[in-house]
Amino acid sequence: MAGMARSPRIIAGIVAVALVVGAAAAFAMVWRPAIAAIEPPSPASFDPAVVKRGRELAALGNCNNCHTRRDGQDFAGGLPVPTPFGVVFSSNITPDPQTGIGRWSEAAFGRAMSTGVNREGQHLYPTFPYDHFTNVTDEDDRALYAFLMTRPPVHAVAPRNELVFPLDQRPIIAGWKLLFLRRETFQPDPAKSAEWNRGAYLVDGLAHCGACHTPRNALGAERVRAQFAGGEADNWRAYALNDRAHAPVPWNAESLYAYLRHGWHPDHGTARGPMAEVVSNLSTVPDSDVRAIAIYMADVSGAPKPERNRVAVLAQAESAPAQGDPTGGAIYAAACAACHESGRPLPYGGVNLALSTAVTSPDARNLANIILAGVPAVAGERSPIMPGFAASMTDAQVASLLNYLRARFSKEPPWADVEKTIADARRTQTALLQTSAGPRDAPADPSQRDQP
Amino acid sequence: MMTLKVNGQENHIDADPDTPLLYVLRDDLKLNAAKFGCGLGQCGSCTVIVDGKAVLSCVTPLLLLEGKQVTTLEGLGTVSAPAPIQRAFMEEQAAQCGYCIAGMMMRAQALLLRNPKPTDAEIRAELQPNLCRCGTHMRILRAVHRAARLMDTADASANERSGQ
Amino acid sequence: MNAPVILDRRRVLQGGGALIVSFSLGRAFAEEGAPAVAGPKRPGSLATAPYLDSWLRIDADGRITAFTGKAELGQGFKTAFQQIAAEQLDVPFEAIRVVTADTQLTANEGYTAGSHSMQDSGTAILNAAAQVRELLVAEAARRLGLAAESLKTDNGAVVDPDGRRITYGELVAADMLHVQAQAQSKLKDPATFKIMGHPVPRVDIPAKVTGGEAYVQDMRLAGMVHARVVRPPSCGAQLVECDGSAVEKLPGVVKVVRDGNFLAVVADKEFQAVKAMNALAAATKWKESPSLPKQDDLLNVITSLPSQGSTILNRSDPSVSGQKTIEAIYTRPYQSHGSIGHPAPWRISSKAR
Repeated sequence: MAGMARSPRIIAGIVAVALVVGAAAAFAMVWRPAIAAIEPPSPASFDPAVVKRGRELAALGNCNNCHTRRDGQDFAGGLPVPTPFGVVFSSNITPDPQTGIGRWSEAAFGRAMSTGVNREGQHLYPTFPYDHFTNVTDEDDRALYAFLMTRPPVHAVAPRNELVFPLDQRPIIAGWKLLFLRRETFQPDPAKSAEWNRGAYLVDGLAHCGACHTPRNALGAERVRAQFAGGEADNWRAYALNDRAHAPVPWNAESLYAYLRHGWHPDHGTARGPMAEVVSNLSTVPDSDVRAIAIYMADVSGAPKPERNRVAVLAQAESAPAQGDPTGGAIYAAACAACHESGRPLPYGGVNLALSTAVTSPDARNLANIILAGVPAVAGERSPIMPGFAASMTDAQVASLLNYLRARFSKEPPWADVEKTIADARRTQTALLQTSAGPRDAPADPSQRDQP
Repeated sequence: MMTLKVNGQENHIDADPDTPLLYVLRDDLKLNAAKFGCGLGQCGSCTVIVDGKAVLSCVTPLLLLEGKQVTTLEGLGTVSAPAPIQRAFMEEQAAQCGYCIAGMMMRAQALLLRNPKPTDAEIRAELQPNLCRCGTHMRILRAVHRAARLMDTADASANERSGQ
Repeated sequence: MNAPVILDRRRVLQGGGALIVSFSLGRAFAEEGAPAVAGPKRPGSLATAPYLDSWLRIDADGRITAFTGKAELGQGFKTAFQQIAAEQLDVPFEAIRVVTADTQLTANEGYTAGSHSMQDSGTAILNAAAQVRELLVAEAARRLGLAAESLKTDNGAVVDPDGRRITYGELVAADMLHVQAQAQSKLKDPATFKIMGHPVPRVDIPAKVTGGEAYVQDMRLAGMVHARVVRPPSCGAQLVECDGSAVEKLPGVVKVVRDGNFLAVVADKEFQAVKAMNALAAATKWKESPSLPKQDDLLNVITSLPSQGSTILNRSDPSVSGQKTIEAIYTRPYQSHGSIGHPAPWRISSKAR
């Protein structure tokens, strides 16, 4: 029957409609409107109490870690952030009207935080961790906005991102968001304490701990099922924080609190690499927030294991037979033992390396980084310090030392490919040390504490 | 027994391979410039140059120095024939107690070897591991800048002499 | 300049002019204390070490030495005292040699601390030099039969109106300078200063920037051995047990020294001593008892200790009205007054001489 026959025109029509609908859907998915520019608000228009709260939140969010570069001005951006897909340069989040966020309304700022879209309607790369910031409450976004809009404006244009095609096309980010951006905001667990919930809100939200400590998939998204199973940042391993953590003495709420607050703990050593910047920021926020984070993370890391305590770990290392690379042993004796076997308390004495997660870690990156670059002192702060050995040791000598430390102070199998790890560490540390602001800069500046 | 090249001279050293270079310099070779400050690589007063790079001699065991060239302040010049960096530190009077100064000068010298015209920020960043408790920092900065200028002039006049 | 100034008593005695008779009394002349004479107080450290020859010595060959009981650690006063003595004695800067803190040669001026070197020792040298110059002029006046007022001093000599010169070396004799200082000196008019108040390069810097001998650690004597102290783990810890027998067998170790809670090891070479110290520390048991004040409350601990107040500045102007009082308390963290490196005094025993 003719009436039953599918008319090619109808088919064409259906296809056309489908294409239009699809295109419209795609457009709807990708397109975001610009939000009208505003006259930069006067700093005096913000409530100082809200600004002060914003300062603390910015420290909890570690904003300066990416948005301030060495020798650059606070929050003026331009820091190169290496990713597997190329280099993304952080943006200027000072209230400069031309190059910063001076013409952003509070609504535009809130949209960027929760959905990763800038005022002009462009999608932002997820190096800006809006997959976490979507959990941040409107009230906290408001305080962050107030804090940033009262900073000194800095005229600074970030360099162009260096990304591979097609990832340099921003509309592609919309597809990434469709796959990986969870829009639900943080919901408290009524079965848990208020502190636990506060910790969960901060850890999964503003503090974005998983951005480094959770492994990522091939498309650069955090693997939800492997939350806190260990990730990486700037060629440092961000250790596992779940029940598979490698710390010789397991973490608990108390040790986590002390470590996050002061940057070191006698059972674990000192925070290094990007984590040093995190704890530098955490030293400036309310004590209760650091406690809440510690309580929540202690729960994440599982039940306490009392049998693996400090005394047991040290006794085991003591009784272990002398073994390993003789060259490494001699280097250790001459260059390391004066501090690491001094028995002096941290942070001035070196941690007994039997307690160090850097030695038990699945790869040698962090240990190599520390040996090469050392631990620079933090200006004006009580802080650990260690010389770097990049200038005095060849790669082969560092390898001997790494192999010796692994054999002497852990029960783990030898590391594979130690030479490559060292070469990578030498290369990336040199690059990073020239750009990263490091833990010494504002807002950890003690004179700025408690200031609005 | 090991051979150690210091200030262009080969020395036969009778010391354990784990002996830090500092003790060899001071004890075996009777050189004064490198100082024992902390013995932990935290103060910089023991800094010497090894193969062009600033190295903390108190945490650098002999066994790392096989085949390398060590330079100490003594190897740069003397009171009567000072090297540019020594002249600069004398002219700027850039020492108070002076205990850190040999280390400061060696790290500054290593910087000037690879960067003949460092900025103020570059000098500050480079000398960051070296501590001065007296507070001579501003004079030290001026002295390093002066040394850079003196080296430049010395290079220029050397080139003139050699007809380049 | 690079050689350390080692001036022992014998060399001082051999040095020249016979002005130091008091040496034969078996007491360092510098240590002769202030006799109990009433009268106005002498300026600076002359109050406790009044003899002029405690501060200045002029040899028959004209060499001049100034002595200070203060230790030069980079304050620059060795240079400053040289300027002061040269100025008041009317000799060139280079004509003076300064000897610092030597228990056999210099006055006992106690601690070198609290920015007192210039006001105590510098004042003493200033006045001593002025008074020595007066004595030299008086001696010249006596020899020439002229009035002292008609004589001048210039470049290490007393000059008469005809331009005849008698050098200080010629004038100085016997124990001429072994006299007590007066309370008042005829100091030069600062407007006429040629050396004081004019910048002079510090005398200690060339050695410090060329690896010369500049510190006590740079002195190496024949047969010298090295020691390291095994420090207790905390303040007031008691040494309970120490087996030094294995350590004494280590290469280069000369001796383990134990005296009560003090423990040290002596070895031929410095790093041998370091290694032995580590081994000895590992073989030692201490009994610790907390004796330090609360470390997180140091501010209150320190401010509640007995103290002496002093006024830094007190200026008032009664004519000012409508003032507003601003009060503020400034604190800084407690810093240990610990020295860098291994400081050590030198004592050369009479046997070693």
